[in-house]
Amino acid sequence: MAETRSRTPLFLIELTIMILAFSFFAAVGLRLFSSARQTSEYAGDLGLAVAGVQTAADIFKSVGGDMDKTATALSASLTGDKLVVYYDSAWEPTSLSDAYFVMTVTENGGLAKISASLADGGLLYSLEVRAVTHG
Amino acid sequence: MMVNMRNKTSYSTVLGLLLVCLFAVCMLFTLAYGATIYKDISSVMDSQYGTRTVLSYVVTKVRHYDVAGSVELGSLDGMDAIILREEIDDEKYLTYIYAYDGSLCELFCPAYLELTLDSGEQIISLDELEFSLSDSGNLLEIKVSLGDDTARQTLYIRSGKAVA
Repeated sequence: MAETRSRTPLFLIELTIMILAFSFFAAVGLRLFSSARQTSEYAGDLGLAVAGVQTAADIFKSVGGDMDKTATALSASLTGDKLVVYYDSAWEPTSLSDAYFVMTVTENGGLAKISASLADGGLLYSLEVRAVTHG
Repeated sequence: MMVNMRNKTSYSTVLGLLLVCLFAVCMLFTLAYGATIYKDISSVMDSQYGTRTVLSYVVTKVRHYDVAGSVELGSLDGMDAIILREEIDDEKYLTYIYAYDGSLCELFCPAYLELTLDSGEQIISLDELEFSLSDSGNLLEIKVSLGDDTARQTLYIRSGKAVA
């Protein structure tokens, strides 16, 4: 008499292996998805920061390196040689408590260093600019 | 003995079904999460492409023409426009940059011609394009809107005061 064996355990083992393999690849995939989202958010923030920093640089140059006038044009507060402006996530001026971006302008001998960073500290973009007075 | 075997088989079948259900649920969540992230990325890309590209295009154009008396704000057929002047072989030419019919448009023509808004080349979609000059006349603020996204940049006219 031939011995009949159920195939169910084999099926269960196959399913379990499939789920384990799927879980592994899903974990890798989700990690890639998250990383893509972070990169995309960073790119968006960087785009705003670059435009904002260029704006500040152009204003600084247009007023011949005058920090008081730069502060007025940027609606910022000037402390010593340092100017700080807070922006929300759409790069609209806001208060410190609602800030998503922080832009600082520091001036030293006519050379300004303009940096934009996230409120939680990550530097996004920075450039140095010198105002040239003609005539 | 037979009853025991049947119980074991049905237990295994139920376990198998549960595993299949678990697999399906995991797959569904993974797909849903992936779709959400794709949507987010796509929305950020769209907004960047729309407003930032327009802004970048206009800023680059103005910087390119930034020589004395070449940049001015005016109008074409009643619509506000940035006018960029240049001279080629002693002939004066104008480049108008303006928003018309949901697009950023550019029109390059000899200065003596009077053309209409639809004569320009449509460059890229936008909802609104605003530009203004500062009191000093050497800062040009450009504001671009597309959908919910708005981008703005201020530009220093290095060649001196732009004409409003």
